[in-house]
Amino acid sequence: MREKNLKALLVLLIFFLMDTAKPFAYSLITEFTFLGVILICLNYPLKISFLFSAGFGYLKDVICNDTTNFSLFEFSIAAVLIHYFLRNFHGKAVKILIFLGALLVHIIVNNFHISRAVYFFSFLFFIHSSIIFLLVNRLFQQWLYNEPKNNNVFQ
Amino acid sequence: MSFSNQRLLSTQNSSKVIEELKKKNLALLLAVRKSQTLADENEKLKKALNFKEDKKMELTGVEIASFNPSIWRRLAVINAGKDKGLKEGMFAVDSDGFLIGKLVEVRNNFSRLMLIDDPEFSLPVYIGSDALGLLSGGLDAVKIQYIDISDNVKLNDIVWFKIPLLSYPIYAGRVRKINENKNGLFLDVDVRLFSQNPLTKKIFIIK
Repeated sequence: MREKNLKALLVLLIFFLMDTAKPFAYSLITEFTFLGVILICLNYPLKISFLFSAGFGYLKDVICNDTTNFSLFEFSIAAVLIHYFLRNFHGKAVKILIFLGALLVHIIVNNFHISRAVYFFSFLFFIHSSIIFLLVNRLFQQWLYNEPKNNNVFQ
Repeated sequence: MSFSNQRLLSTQNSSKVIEELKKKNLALLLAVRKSQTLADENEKLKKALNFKEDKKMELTGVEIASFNPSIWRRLAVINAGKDKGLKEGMFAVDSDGFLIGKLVEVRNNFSRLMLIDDPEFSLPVYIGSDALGLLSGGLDAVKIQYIDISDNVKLNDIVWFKIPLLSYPIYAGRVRKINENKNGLFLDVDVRLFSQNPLTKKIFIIK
């Protein structure tokens, strides 16, 4: 279990570095840390998910110089809600719906946070994030979850 | 024609040329004196009206150290701060001299640069020769608001601004689209930025 937790921490750290270094500048419209938080929440118990979500939310707020602790609250609440839905709803499509729902809520909340409605940018964010999440999930599934390759997060 | 006559003619021509040159020289001398007098007069008037003198442009080359992790903001951290004489509100340009953004926070050895397309960026700008508006950043499009309908704004007009005390115009972009505001009093203008991907280029801060 400890090894699995360390892997989750490492993945989140790499994703956070990707967000701060932005190797694709602003041509790739996604937030790796947010995708990492959803990935961990969908595959780890509540305690670990909540801890990592709150930790990386706080780290993001510190780097962004955001005194409202916006990401700390957003990520922590997301972790709790994702686990609530996972506990109460079952089925093949639940994880996909949770991911898409989390993405939509993140877009709406951020539009409020910047006090602007940015429709085209939000659409691009949704598309880029969905594709990146599928790729990341595929790349990391075997290493992160220590499971056979055909057993992905949406199954 | 005899040799002596030829020499006489050439000497006469030379003296004419010399006379013309002397006239031109005198005219230039008078022009220089006039411009000197005008410059002195200008200086006196500036002092009398308490105008501040134009500064010389000073540039500091900087590099981006990291970005704001949120994609919903356009903020970057640069590797220079108070140690390089930077101050809040200074403007950043790329290597072609086009506007990139402005400094919003300056610490001892790093600063936070707000890029022109950040949702919170705003700057009074000129469009074309005399129209004035407020440029505001945005993730979808950079817009200029509050342009009077009577202002003669056309597509492809240059969007620029002037830093106080510096006489150089700094270009930001061109007019891409013109829309009438919902209340019908102002024009809303979309801007195509000159510096499309400023982060791949060297950044300079104008002091």
